Amino acid sequence: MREKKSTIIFLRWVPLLIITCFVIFPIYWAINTSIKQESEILKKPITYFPKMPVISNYVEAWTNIGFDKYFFNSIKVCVFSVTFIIIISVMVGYALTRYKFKGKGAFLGMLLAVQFIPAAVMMVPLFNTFNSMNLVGTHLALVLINITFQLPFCCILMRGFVGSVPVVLEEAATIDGCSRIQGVIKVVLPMLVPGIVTVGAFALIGCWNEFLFAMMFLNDPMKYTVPIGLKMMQGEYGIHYGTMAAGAIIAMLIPVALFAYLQKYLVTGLSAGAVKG
Amino acid sequence: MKKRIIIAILLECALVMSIFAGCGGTSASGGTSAAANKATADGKTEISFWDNYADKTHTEIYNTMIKEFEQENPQITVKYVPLPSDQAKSKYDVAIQSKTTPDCGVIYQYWMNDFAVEKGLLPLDDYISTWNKKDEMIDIFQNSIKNTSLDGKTYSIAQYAVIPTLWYNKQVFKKSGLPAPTTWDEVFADVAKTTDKKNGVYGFSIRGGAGSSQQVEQMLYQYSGITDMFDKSGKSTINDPSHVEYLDKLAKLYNKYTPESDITNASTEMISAFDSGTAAMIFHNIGSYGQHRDTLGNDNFGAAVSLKSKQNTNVLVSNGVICLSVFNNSKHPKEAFKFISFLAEHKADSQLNEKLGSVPCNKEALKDDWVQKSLPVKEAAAMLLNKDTKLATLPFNVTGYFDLHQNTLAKDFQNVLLGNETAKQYLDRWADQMTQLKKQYDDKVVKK
Repeated sequence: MREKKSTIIFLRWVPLLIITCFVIFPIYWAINTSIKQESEILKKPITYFPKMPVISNYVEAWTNIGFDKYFFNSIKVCVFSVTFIIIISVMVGYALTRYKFKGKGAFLGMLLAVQFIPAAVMMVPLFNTFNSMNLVGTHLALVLINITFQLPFCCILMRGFVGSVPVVLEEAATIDGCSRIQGVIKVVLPMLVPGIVTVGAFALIGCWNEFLFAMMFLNDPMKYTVPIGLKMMQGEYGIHYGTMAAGAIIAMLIPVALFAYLQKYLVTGLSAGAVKG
Repeated sequence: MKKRIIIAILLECALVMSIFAGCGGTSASGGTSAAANKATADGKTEISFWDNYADKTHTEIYNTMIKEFEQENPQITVKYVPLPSDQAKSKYDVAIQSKTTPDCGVIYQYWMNDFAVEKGLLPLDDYISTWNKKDEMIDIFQNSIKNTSLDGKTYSIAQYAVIPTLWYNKQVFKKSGLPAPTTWDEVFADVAKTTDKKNGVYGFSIRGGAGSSQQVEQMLYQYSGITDMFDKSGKSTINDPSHVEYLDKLAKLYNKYTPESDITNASTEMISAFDSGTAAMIFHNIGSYGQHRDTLGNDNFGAAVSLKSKQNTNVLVSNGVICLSVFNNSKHPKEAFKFISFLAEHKADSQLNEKLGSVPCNKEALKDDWVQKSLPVKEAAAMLLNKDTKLATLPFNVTGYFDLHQNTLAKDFQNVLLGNETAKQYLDRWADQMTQLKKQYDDKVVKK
């Protein structure tokens, strides 16, 4: 019995502990760097805890670099993008699962294929299109770009979740007098919550970290998003490590907080999506 | 029931779309697209200005200078757009292709021909000829801008220079009882003497990763004192015997007097090695001065800007200056030139370079008090004002030069460090490729 217990500890907990250290250490190091003075960051010997913890890097990132603006700009872009991605992907996922129509297979193949196109290839044509619509320099351009680039993957993911909801439940609702749309809203959607959370989480990560198009399409520092702010701390000749670490921690806040809150749905969602197709 | 649902959905869509519209703006401010570049309601002319190196220091100083400019020129307002340094070129490229460039901006000299080929830049010769402060500009840089342009026109005015610099740690040198090096031979001798592996101190740190070959190219020409990149027959001078000799010595330092990780060093890692005290010397440029000052402290490091060449000459190897240009698409080129010339004049150029710790391209600014107090800049200023200083401008204007460095030379340099290839083999191949590129450039671009 004792031997069994120690084997479990060795096989289960030790690898988990090592993996956890690998995951946690960079975050700890970013926090550690963010509260060090610039002169202490590169000093030898390395200090694992700051000698004189400071919050000046956070103040610097938030006020002087402009994270006070970038942070809320990112939130604004993400909220609109993710909302529309979820709405559209639920509709597309439902249609792909429940309906039979000509070209369904080709459409699915297309959803997969378009993900192979590098974003940079589409930069100039998209820029010209958006420019002719007077959208360059606006957050709306970013929202549209985010929706476009995130949708194919999210639709495929959502299709799996919708497929995991038994059709018989909808049929039962229909017998009870529900229309199809009522059936979707009252029966399918509540059961899709883990899927919506999962799709929303993936979409949020993509939108929150989107840099290339934000950089190319925005021409006003007041409208910049968090990834641009982080890039602005990396000069060609030097990096302000403390401020950049503080900026990175600020940038992590929303995804980490959201994931911490939604993780129970996320785990359920991921496993559901993994086995149903 | 159905109707109510449909009406509810429509209303919801209308609501969402109205919120959604709030994301949009009224103008694509910052670029010269349709809505930008217009006279403002109060009759002022708005020009947009892109800065290719966004950081706190640049942003602060440019905002101050823009305020001063606007006070002097109340009819012009300047819209400042900072760009992250590693994305600035792409942003300019997209803007040029889509004709949404700003009115003016900061560019590197080595971008100039790329932009000029695409007809993105406005020739400034006529504007410069009527500019009353044109004589304040340092001739060697202004001539270099003209000489490296593909059609002999001046597309930029020089703002500041990043001079190649050998940085050394004064504390390590003091501990080893060594004076500051003045020649490359002294540097090689000091590398061995300052290495103290037990205490984690290496004599030198080599840039072996991204950008390595360009750094090496600067070292080679500074060492040899050769100022022409091609001989009279159009053959590259990069495989000169003195260069082979130098590169051989440099490669032998690797992993003996340098950290093993140097093989993948980009500039940031190399600078960090110096700033953390791991490396006693690095060869970079004056641009990293601020970083050394902030981490090591002003008294703990020194700069050797004018290492004597093998020919006992002072050679300034330049991969171009940081310049100010007006874009062809600008609807207010006069105002844009007025602004960039304001930035290049004594007061503004001095202000900017004092903050950045870099070298002004304005002669008057080089004589200012702060230059005398900042040792590396003072040395660079003395070198630039010395009539005997020779300028060796790297062939960055030759089409394909950067691709060659980025795709081939930097990677192959690692083989030289690892001993898989000799310095001669590497430089011979480099010379062949460069000669070929120059021939193509002359045939296809210059003669056209």
